[in-house]
Amino acid sequence: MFKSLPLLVRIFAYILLVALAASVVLPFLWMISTALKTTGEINQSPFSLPATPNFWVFVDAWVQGDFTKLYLNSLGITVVAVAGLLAFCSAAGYALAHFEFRAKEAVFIYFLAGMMIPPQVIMVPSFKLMATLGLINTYAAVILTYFAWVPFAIFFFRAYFSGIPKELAEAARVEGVSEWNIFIRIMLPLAKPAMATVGIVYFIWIFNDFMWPLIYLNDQSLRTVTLGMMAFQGSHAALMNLKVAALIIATGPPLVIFLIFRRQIQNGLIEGALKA
Amino acid sequence: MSKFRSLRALTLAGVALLIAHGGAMAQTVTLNLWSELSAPPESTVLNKAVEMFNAANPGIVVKHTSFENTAYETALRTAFAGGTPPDIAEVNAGSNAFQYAQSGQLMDLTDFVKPIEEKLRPGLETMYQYDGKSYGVLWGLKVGNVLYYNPVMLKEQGIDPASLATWEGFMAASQKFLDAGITPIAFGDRDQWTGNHYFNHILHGILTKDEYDHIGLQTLDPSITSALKWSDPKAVHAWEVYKAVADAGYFTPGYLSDDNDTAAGLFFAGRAPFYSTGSWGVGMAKANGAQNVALTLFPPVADSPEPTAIVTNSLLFTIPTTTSDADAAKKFLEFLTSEPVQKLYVEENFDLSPYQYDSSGWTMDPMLRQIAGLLDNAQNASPFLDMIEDVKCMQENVNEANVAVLTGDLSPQEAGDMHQECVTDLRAERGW
Amino acid sequence: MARPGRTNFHIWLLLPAFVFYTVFWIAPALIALLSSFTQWNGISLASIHWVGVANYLELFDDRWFWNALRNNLLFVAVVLSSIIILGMTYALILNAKPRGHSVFSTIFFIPIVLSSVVIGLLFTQMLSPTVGLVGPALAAVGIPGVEQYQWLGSKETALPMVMLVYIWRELGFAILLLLAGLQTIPNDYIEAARIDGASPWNITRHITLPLMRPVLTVVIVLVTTNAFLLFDLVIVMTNGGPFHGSEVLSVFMYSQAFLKGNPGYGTAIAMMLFVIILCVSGIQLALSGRGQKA
Repeated sequence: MFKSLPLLVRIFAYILLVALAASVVLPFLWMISTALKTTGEINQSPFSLPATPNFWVFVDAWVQGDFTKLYLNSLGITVVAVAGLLAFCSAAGYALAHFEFRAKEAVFIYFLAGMMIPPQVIMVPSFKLMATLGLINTYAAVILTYFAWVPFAIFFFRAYFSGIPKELAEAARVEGVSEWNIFIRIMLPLAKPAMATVGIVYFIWIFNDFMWPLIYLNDQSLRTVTLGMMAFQGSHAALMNLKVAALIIATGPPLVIFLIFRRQIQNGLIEGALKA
Repeated sequence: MSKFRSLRALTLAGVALLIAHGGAMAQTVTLNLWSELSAPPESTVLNKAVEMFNAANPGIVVKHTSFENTAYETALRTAFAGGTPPDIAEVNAGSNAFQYAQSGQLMDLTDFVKPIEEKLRPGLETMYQYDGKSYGVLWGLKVGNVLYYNPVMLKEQGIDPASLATWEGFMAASQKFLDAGITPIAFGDRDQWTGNHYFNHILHGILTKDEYDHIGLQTLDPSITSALKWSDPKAVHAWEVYKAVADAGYFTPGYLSDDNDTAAGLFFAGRAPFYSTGSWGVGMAKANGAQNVALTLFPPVADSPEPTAIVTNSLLFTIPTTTSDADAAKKFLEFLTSEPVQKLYVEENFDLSPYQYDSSGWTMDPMLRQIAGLLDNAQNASPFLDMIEDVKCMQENVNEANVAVLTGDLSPQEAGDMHQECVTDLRAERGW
Repeated sequence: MARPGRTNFHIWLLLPAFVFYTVFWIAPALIALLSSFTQWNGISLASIHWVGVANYLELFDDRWFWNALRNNLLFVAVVLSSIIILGMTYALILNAKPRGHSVFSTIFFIPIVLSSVVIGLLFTQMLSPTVGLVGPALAAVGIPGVEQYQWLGSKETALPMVMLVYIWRELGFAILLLLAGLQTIPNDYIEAARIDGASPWNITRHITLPLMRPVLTVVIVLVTTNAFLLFDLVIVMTNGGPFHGSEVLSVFMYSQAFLKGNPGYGTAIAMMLFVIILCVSGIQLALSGRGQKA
């Protein structure tokens, strides 16, 4: 199909593609090259390549920033939060797509409204709430907050389940299958692609979130990757190579995971859009 | 079955917890201590002090919860507003502490503090006294008006470090560097507080202690009035001097877009010969492995009435009125001011003590000792302006204005006029 | 569906999400709404006093509110139109499956995984005249006088730079969604049109775009909402400066509520922001709905 286009259009299209790709790749190359240089080399020129690449810089940054601990903290929080969200939101999305009840539209709009509330505005009241519950400086405070991030997931699951014919559940009901089993045994397996998409999107959001861990997880031993990386930037002001190495450490692993699962995300989104 | 088993296990654990808790309650007082000292070495020192205190006082258990700096203010405000502050609270000395005192949430510690005051360096009263009453004990002493320089770079240009003792000497040295193609002063004002400190130190050099203290405190204390106005030539002159540095091209080119860390990095990496920050710069130099660092007092402007005066900053340990045991809390506060704790603090923290113990035998970084010398040599000390002026006027008219003066959005006179207007309105609004 | 004994199942399905969402998101928001009608010092509940709509009235006289609103609208307009035009262009190109399209699409999606804090730090470094590479790079290709230019410290360029980085960050997600939308269009339609002799442009104009309307609506609403709520990137890159130059509403709110000690005023700003987003997305949805019927 691409080949059928006029040559000029094809050339122009490639220029666009290469330009955008370069804008993404070049900063990464710059980061890697900067990390591997000595401070002296960095001061001389931002473009030069490292004379003798110092790969130990990553080990240094990893150890000094205690990234093992940071990653364990971040992963723990993210996994629990995403698992919970998938469970609640698939259920709610299914209810909104397949059941008829009073105020259904209103409930849906209620769930969507949260997307428009600036998170900064609820910071103080939320902090107050968590303090009252005695949850400051516990993982529970951030995880419960993430459990409230339902709008996008419900929106997506509702659209997805709407694409699944209701007759399927009806047939099962006639057979005498309980509602609970219809949801668990029939609907959820069908929603696997949506689960994958929502799961990965939320994984990225929650893993990268900065604000809530910042206000709730004050104890150093509870810190997440983003928080720890920020603290690292401040305490190593003049050590540009270490600073950049920490940036790479904070972005590398999520990036690799993303690249591995890219096809699932894409397929999930396409399927989601199809069903919707 | 398994559901039951886990339920039973949970219940048992709950009961065990209750018993453990109840048992402990019967014998000891637990005091919750909150602070923003969450990163080493500051957190290490306080935690050690808490351990020492708990070991020496079997009946009292102090439990320290530390908060990340930026979140602490939110945490503490919320806790106070909800009526559940900790038993002992660390707050920034000065205006920050006075807000809580003003709303009646801190215990009046005047009588308790009296004997401790005798150990204290003079000139620090404005940090813990509000409306004639004392509200806590000081912890640590940071000196603000310090100029760091790179002695190797100075030598290369043939500049005598002694010439940095005056503002004119500092400017002449800067010009010499500029002529040699080196931008002299590492400065990044993205987060505004750095420019605030420059303005603060210049102003502090121009005014007498009384003028300086009063022009700030008039927004906090109804009984204090200031003869000097922000729109008067003396105050406006501070803005002019500050702007002249930028106009001369002495600030590193990212002065409006870089943050302080980046600017510090330029200095520690040997790319700019000057950098001004407080005594905490000594610890920063260590963390960054910087070699060629020396320091002197921030150069006072010509005809400074008190050229050796110091700008300081400290933390305050206070006792909220809702504390569970005021006597135990006071005991802890007194312990914090004791010589062993202060020695520990100074030796491990790259910071000074507000208490006058004989420190000649303590292990101290030479640069820190030099700062201690500046302090001993000072005619007097005053807090940072942001500690003695209400945030409602300070934020807009010093923090934001210092950027606006550099960008040209405000002329020095306009900055002064706006500031004065805010102060006048604020006093009128409060009926002072 | 309404069989006796089964009608309540949906309640159980909805309950967990409803409870967490209500307790930890909506309830704090309602408290914030109430506090926008008060003035207090943020420390002692005794200092709270009801001021009615005074905070809202004050907004209209506050030049920095108008400044932030103007910046915000400008930001949304530029970012939204760029993302839609560029996103659609790239999605159409990728959908034609040029050689290497899957490598390109993988690369385009990379910024999605990065946190805005990391992106902000990265670009702040690169744009800095002291430690960055943009100035030296421009000087190297022969553009003089920009080596020491403060991209993030000048009124003229601070907000545009944030826009550029924001577009860079969000474009991949838009391409992903639009591409997914394009791939849902049955090939038969396009084949049939092609056999009838329609040009690629006409196919795009008369078949693809109308069929893309639902996906486009979703992308437009999502991008608009997120762009209005812009916060992290500004805080990391410019902190709203220089002197309010890149201050948008959420940053203005933050500085009032947390730095200047006016929590009531701050929440009033946030409420205005909420209302603006609600109106704009409402208008967008209504327009797309009307277009569909026509």
